[in-house]
Amino acid sequence: MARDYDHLFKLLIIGDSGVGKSSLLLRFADNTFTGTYITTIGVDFKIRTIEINGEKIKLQIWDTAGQERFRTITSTYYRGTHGVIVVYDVTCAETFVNVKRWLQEIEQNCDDVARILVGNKDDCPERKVVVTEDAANFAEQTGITLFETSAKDNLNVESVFVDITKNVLAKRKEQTRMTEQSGIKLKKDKDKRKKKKSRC
Amino acid sequence: MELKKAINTYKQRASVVGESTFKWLENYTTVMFKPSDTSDGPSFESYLLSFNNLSCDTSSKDPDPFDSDNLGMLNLSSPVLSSNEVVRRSRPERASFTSSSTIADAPLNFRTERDTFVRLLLGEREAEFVDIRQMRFLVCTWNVNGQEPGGDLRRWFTTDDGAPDVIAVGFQELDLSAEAFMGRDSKREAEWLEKVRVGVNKVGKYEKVQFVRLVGMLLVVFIKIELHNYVQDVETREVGTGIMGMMGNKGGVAVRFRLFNTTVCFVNSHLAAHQEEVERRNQDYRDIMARLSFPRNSLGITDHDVVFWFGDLNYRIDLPNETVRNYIDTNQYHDLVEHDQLIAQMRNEKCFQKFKEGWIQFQPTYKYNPGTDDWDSEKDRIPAWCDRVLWWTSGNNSVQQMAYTSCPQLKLSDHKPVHALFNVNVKVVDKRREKSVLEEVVRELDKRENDFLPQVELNIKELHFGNIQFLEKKSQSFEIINVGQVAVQYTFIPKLQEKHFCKPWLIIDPCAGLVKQNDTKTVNIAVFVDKDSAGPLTAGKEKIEDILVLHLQGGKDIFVPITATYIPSVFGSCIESLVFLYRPIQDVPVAKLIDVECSQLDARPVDSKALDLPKELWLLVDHLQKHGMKEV
Repeated sequence: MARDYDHLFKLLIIGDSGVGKSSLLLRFADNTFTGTYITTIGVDFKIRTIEINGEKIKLQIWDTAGQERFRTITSTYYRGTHGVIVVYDVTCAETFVNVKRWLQEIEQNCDDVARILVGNKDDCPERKVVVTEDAANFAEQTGITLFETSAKDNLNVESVFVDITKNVLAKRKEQTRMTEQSGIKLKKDKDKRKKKKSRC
Repeated sequence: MELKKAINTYKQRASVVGESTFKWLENYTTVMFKPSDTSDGPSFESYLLSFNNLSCDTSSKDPDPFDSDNLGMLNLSSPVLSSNEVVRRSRPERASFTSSSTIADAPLNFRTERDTFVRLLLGEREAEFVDIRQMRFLVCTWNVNGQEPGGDLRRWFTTDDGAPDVIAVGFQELDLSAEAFMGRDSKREAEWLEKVRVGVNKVGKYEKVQFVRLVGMLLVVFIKIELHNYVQDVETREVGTGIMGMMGNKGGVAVRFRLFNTTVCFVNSHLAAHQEEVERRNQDYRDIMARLSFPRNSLGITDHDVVFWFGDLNYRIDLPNETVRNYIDTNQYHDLVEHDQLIAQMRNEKCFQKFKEGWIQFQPTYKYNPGTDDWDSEKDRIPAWCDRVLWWTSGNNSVQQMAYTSCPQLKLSDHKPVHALFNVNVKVVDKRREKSVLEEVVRELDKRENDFLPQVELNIKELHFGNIQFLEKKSQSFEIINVGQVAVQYTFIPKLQEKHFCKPWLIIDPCAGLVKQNDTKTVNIAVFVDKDSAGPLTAGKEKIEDILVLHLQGGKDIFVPITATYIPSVFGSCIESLVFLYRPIQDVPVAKLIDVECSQLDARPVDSKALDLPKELWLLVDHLQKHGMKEV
């Protein structure tokens, strides 16, 4: 127990306004849920430490404002992110349609991040309009894992974060392995990244 | 001449304008001179000054607020770093954050001390995840009077209860040679260790845990082979209290270790001799207690779950020799115990406070003629229970004495060996339960860490200023209410790619500050369009729209949208545009304004004819011509 954690990862939750991003975070970090809706105007974060395969991982999870007018500002918070959680509301088709736009935001603002798709509010079958099959098809096409959750009923929330953390961890391990394999290749990668950044 | 012509042209064309234009212009001229000499509050210049200073400050202190300070969050995107490097790199960053921060120190310290907290909280809940396993500890002590090893020690290590799990053996006066006294090697040490090893292995299969020697005091601990893997954190320590209060002819030696989850400390000591030296013995005890500390975690003797303290403690019986011997002959130990110095001292809390001792039901172990069971004839010492075994536990009754006796069969020395058998409740960790408790503890700490993040609420969601005219200052305020558990340091920070945290037409006061817990801070926001910022606004290139980013040091960012509608004025408009406006600028539809301002000269609408001079300029010059001489 020499140090507090083995890894520190930054995760970001994005998605339309009102899909339950803050609720997911509150459920995961503090294990609480409040029915009252408070729009997030800004970016907030909470931390939680989890253990995966004996490694202590400290997660700093950022919750962002979903409103359109804040999109330019929130996009600046993508930097240094290891994983992005894209959330839609299974009871609101529009939020699912907008997932594409959010994925584009990731493309534009992040180099290489783990991504995960989350259909939240999956606790009322009568009101569900985004059927699992459609979402699953979309997820498969995009090569992204889908989770249907309910922050209210604490359904699948833990799995979302554990899954994305595992992805981030796997990515890091892969990167470390590559680094060890060849230093020259890495240099090239670095140059590429620089170019990419400058284009933005 | 040029001017006169222009004025005339304007007069002709501006017949539409009429008197109202004058009034409208006057209105602006008065406003224009107002801000610099307003006496209420700081002037605009000082606003500007403070604004500039602060924005400079912000940028130098925190050039990249999105990345650098939040929870010591790092830019970990570089794949070059291995996980180890990442963690190493994280330390200095966190430290620098701590040092630069005057607030939120509590949670930060808390964070760096986190591991200590985990252990502490886990320790508090130990009972939830340990099972108690009863083990037998045999504690043996013998003052061997410098004799060569002899006799069969098997008896000493044998109990009625089978082979003990742990055997601790303490010797005093193991080696009385000058070499041993000077701290050099002792050949007796090896001889006796071998003798003990052979002895214990006649009782069962044992592995040596550790041994320690100071001059004549030797302590060696054995454990059953199958338990050896569960012994951890073994340490030894010796303290001399003899000649000069330092030498090792008297004092104590100790071995400590962790067996499963129970920490054990064995202290073998030889205290000051002679019938009347009770206080010296007490002092030796206090010295050992105070000075014996295991270096790795500076643990003292009583920082353990279980302590066994034994040896030649040298306390005597305060009765005449004859009486003592009579009592012994008639097995009246009970009456003798009443006069035992150690029992009396312990009763008066002069030494061995909170230690326990079992009832003595064996013959005093001192002093015999070596090789016999006869009382000392040479110096005619009063028989005494010099050789004792005491124990101490941290609170709970985890130790139970099963036997306490001497072994008179071993006649080598002028002392008889003593042993005591104990049942010790050893805490064995259930890994599964421990993991779940650990998870809860970690969650609890995470929750606390989250609770200690700065939290504020604003009494507004956004600010609307309505219509804003040129050089008209409109102010509003909002409150930052600290609803969190720590003081909050706030600053407005620039958005990415922007140099200042707000647009030039915004004045924020104060733009950084500290809000104490449960306290509220009012921030004044003013919109003020001056000649520098009017241009783009009139042209419609920019709107009065901004989103302020209110950053809480070490915490979240809050967005504060600001909106207002700018009423265009001639100020800030370019002359090339003004010549196309025949009417007061406010009467011109915004779309047309944008059109006129943005289009290139050659692309101007053909149908509209440019005035030779903007009407506003004409009016100015006209006024100067008419009244200028008088006023000058």
